[in-house]
Amino acid sequence: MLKNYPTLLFILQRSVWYFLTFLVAITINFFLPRFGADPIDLIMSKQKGLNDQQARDKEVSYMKEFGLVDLEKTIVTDNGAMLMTKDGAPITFKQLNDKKLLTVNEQKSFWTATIEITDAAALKSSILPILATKTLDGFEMSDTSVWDGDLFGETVKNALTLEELKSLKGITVSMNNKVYSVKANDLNSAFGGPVSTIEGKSPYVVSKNGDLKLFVNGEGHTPVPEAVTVGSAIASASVDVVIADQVLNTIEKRNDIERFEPIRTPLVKQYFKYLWMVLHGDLGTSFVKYPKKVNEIVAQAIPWTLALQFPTIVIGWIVGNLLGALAAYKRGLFDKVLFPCALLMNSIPFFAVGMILVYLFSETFRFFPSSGGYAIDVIPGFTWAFISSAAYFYVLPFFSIFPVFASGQATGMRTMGIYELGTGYVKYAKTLGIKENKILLYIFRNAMLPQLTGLALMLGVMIGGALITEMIFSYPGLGMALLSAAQNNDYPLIQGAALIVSVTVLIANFTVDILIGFFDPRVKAGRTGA
Amino acid sequence: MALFEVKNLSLHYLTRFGSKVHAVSDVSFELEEGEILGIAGESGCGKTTLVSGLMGLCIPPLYPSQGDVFVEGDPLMNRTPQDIRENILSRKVSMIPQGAFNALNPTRRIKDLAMDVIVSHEGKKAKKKEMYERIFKRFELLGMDTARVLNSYPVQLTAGERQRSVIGISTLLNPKMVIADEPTSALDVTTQKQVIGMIFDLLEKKVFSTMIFITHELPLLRHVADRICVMYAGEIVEMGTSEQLVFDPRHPYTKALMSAMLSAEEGARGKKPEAIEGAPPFLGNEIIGCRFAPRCKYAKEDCKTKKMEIRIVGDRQVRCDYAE
Repeated sequence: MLKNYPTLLFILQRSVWYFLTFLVAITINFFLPRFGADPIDLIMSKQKGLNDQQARDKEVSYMKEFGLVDLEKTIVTDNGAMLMTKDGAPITFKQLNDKKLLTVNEQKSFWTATIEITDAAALKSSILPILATKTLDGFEMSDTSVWDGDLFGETVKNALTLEELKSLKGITVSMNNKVYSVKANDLNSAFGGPVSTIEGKSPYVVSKNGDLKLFVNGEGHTPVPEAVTVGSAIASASVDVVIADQVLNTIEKRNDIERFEPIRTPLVKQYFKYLWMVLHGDLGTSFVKYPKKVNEIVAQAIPWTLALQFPTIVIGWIVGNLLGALAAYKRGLFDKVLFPCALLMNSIPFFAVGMILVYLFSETFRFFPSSGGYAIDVIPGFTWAFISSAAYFYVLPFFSIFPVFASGQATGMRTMGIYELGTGYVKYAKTLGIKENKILLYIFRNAMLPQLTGLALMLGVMIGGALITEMIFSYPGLGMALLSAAQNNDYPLIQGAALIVSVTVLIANFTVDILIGFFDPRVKAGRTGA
Repeated sequence: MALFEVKNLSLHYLTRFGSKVHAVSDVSFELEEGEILGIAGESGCGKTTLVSGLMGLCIPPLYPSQGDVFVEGDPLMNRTPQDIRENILSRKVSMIPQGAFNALNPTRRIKDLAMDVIVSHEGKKAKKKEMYERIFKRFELLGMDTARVLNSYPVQLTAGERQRSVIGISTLLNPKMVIADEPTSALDVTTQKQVIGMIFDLLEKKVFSTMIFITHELPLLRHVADRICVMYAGEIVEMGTSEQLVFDPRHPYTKALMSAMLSAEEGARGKKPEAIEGAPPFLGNEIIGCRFAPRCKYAKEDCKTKKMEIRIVGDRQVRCDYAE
């Protein structure tokens, strides 16, 4: 069916290729920051004045934003203990919510939520069989370690070593996931005093020299001072209840106790997540301007970049090609002056021209401002003050790109024009007595075609160069955003800006690619196979 | 009065450093209405340059040095390009170029190019549709799938179709005379025959009456031309009827050229083609004696120093003092 519409078919084919290129661009964008130094480390090293908890929170939020981790919702008590089931799986609000024990009102951010306890008694009884343990994050035990030290803010002294613990009669030690479980079969004999337990659950206190150490059956260990004493050991309450109470108290005391635990996402999943995000137009969240979205920052910058580059490219292309065609046709003095000038101009990079212009017209003569997109005292908007100010600030950046680009086009067009002038069809048209201006039109049109392709090829270089120009003039466009992002290790913004640039180049190339088919029958013939 | 007259025409190219290369020297001939003149000679002998001169189209770096061309009695040199474009080209003198592919603008359809020719000479008087019908009628004579060819770009046509299209466009305005500059050299023998047949068909149908046919193949000219002139190094070395030149060449160069041809003519069978030793002279230097002398088998002592002039031998012109 499509075979009847070769042009449409061609556009579709091209689109597929360009989309694949786009995917490659996304893939490169995805992998580059993951190959080098860890972006999270880089950005965290720049954070100052944060305490440990804040730093950790920030790090986790960055990792989440960068797609390195998934966050699982868990309930965490005031002192950092986390509710877990006996299997060690975190208990989430959803589970409690499902049991109608409490309701999550609103999620303030991904970080905290307000909850409400609907049925405190039921919650309490529901939590009872659940063991709360402190997470052992960052606290690894080895066989020989003495469990002394600072454990979640509570000082543990004179703890038994594992060996000592194992040597106690009536105690069995098993290990699961780097967490030791201690079970006492006969505490009385182990401690030489009465130890009571409730409902078959076994909280044990193990200590030398009278200091408290508590091991909960199941996973881990939780020091709970005051709860028990050696010798009389847990006479009335189970530690479960104590901890459950503690959790409940916390819940009642503070509403925002939902926490998320970071879990590393596999690379493949990260990739598809990133792809999904980008295809949905979400470029992530900036590190530096957190929690501002990259989309927002880019959307602010793009109009400036477009306003700078689009007219420059269009006017530069037209002026350059007209000058080049004129030089090719007239030759003589005009060509002799224009051609070397254009060659010279074309070989100067944009930023060098920018610096010269700043030095001349901004530093020396003070005609034009050297940096910024508009005066500080005007507010962006559709006001005369703003537009005139923007136009005033526009002059130098424009003239730092325009001549370079135009002269590049002029040299190309001149060469092409001279070539076309010498071709057989021009000579034949002359022998046919076709009017001069018509022949000129032939030449211009045919010489323009390679220029069009050249333009597409040059666009990438152009835009890259123009970004540097923006940096020189502190023009508030994409280049500036990219520069500040690079300086501050703002990886999501770098990725976003780079992706926007590559997408722009792709779109421009695609347009030229399609257009050239309409201008050049040779390409068209190749497409239709005629 | 002859339709077309060339008197002592000399043309030179001006090089970048100011020296001249005399590509055509002292060429004179007359052409009556209805006559076909063949011009033969090896590559670089000035055939194509002569064509530019004959049309009055001296595009720098080509300049006329002396002599003039008269079309129906009017001189061509010293007229403005505008004048020549409006009054001579396509209307009185038209050219069929060699290599039709390069001659057609790749980004223009055949019909558009043809319309450009009409509009350039007659203004935008006629409507596009009328013009198209006129072009269509003319192209019908060329024996092609006219509608398709007219609406095609040059890339979409075969070499033969392109050559025919070029012939159609060149003769669109019924020129008095057509200069065919190796119109068939890029084609295979079958297509060659068809194209030449077509040109003569147009002659018969009085689209044009007079023709100068340029080629490097002398035997072909015998079938085509009434008279043949042979050029060497920018000069006419011999001119006569085609029978005379093909079967009884007098000038040593014509003789050598004929024996270098692989010919299927009666009486020429079994002959091995002979190469002409040496290369044509460089025309940037002034040559006093006979230009062919260094390569001539019959060259005498004074050939290299004596200026050779055109002589009438019998009823033909020969530029050799020793030819009989």
